[in-house]
Amino acid sequence: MDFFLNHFYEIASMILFGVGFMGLLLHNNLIKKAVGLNIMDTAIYLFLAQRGFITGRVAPIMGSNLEASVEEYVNPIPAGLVLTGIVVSVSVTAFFLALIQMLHKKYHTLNLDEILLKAKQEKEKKKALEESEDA
Amino acid sequence: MHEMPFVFNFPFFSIILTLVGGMSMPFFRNGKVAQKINMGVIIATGVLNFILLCYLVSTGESFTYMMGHWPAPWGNEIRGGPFEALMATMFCIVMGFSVYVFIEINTLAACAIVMAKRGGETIVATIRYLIMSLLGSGLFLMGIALLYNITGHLLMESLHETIMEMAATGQYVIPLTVVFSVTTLGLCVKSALYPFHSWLPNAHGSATTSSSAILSGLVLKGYIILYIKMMFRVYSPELLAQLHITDALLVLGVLAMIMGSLKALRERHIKRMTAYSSVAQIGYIFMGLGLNSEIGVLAACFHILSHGVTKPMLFLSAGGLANVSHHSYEFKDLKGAAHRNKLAGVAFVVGSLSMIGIPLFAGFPSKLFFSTAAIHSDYFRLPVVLIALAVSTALNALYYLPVCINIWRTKDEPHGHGHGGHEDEHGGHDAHVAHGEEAAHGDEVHEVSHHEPAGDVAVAAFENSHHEETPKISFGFGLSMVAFIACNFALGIGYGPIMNILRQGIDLL
Repeated sequence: MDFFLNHFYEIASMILFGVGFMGLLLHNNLIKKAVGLNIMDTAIYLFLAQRGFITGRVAPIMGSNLEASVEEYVNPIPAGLVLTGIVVSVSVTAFFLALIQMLHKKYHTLNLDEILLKAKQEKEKKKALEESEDA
Repeated sequence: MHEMPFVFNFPFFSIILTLVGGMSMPFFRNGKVAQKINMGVIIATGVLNFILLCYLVSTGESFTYMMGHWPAPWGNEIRGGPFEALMATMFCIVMGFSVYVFIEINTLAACAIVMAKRGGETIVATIRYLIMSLLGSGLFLMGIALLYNITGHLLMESLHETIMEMAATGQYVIPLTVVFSVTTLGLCVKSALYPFHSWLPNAHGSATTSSSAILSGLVLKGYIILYIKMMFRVYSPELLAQLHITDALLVLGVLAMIMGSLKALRERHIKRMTAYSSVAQIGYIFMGLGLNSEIGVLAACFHILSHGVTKPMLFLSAGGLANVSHHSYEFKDLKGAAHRNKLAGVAFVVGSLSMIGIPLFAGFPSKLFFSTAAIHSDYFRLPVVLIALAVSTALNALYYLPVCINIWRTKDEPHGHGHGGHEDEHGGHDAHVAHGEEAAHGDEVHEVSHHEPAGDVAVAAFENSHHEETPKISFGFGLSMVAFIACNFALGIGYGPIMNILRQGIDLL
């Protein structure tokens, strides 16, 4: 039980990662896929942020205490990585949503299976039209 | 580091140059100016990397460049060696020519037609590509986060040291296995290894010609090169073998080689067929990595190069052929297309022969090296790899040669109107006769086309006046095709020095 309490954040982030990953992979609804993507990314950031912080230490910014030793600071790299990751996932999400919007305008649905079906039908219709023109 | 040679700054210059170039693009209203600047940046980067390559090969060393003179744990490092420089140079060359062709084709107004025709399909393909790519990056990032969690480092050098220490003392075996599998899986998804390849043919089928060329030739290879670097610089090949990761790569690679080829055999769409062929070729590369010997990795690296010059050529020539066939990529419409665009036809044949692995073409040495690597491996891997190579080569011939024959067929030939299956059966038989002839023919045209720029305009004008539907072979298209064919022969004949550079590069990794 202690193990679960001590590693609360890690366990939570792993569960969230799984939820997001499966959401992105298996959901048919495109918006839910986008949500899954964000859950997955956030889980990784939670994990990194939690592992990167040591209780009782501060961010490595030189304050009034000029004598401070390295031991009082946390490593800033995980935090930097999380910030970079957030920027990337924001832009990817924006791109993803823009594409979803374009698809919705064209096919009036958010279900990926239906979209694929409609695209296929459209293609076949076009082919039939071309063939009839040829004839 | 004070008397550092000036050339060591070149990787940094390349990064800054491309970064600034990319960011300044949206500010140019005039597309032509932007394209010219783009070409300039690519050429400059290529030249810088080539100089660096020459320098590093002559001195036989690799170096670490510190950004802003901050040493390792605090600052960022760029590491350069012959391997990196060679790959960068090759990428610039291929990129330059593909983009060059794109400019030309764009001015021929093919792009707008393609886009308008396939709006919905393109977006669906993009979304599928995006989803797979995001899944891959998510896995990879998770792997990196776990790795940081175990070791407390993010730089490759320190990671390697800590991991070796852990492996030696037997700590953290399960977490390390998880990390290795997760990063490997992530990169496999991103580089479209067999079970994760489903997005690739769709993305290619609906993309523009140049984007296919760059996607297949370069983008996928970027992840593989990252994986090779991680294999040597973060993990170690022995450790990967111990954890059976290389065995998994070998199995997936062999599966990809055969399944990719089988699926290509069923395609009636030239770009989708070539895309499935890419799936098979990616399988070759991972099989080389999975052999877990130095020569296997070398073969894989050489295959990255040879596939990197061949596949863009195939896509570009397929685009060129489609342009003279009512912008259709279906086999039945491409019949005799090579007579309307001879250079594209020759390039497609050269590319096909290279993919099959005929001597003198780039594909031959890589298959030779793969077989050598297989012979040097143990008794269990030897038959698997050799059989897979043989089957895949035969399948390559089966799906490429009918296309080559189809595009060179004259229109008024009585047989074979849309009988796909019929052609397939005869493909293997005709192959022996056809490829000898066409190889000779390819050489001939290759010689002639050196003088082409002068005669090009006249020929094009002549053709234009005769058939309305035949667009002229533009100077850019001609130059790129000739350059790709030349690169192909250069790799196919002069593979010795390139192998030496690669060996040097891998040793220094």
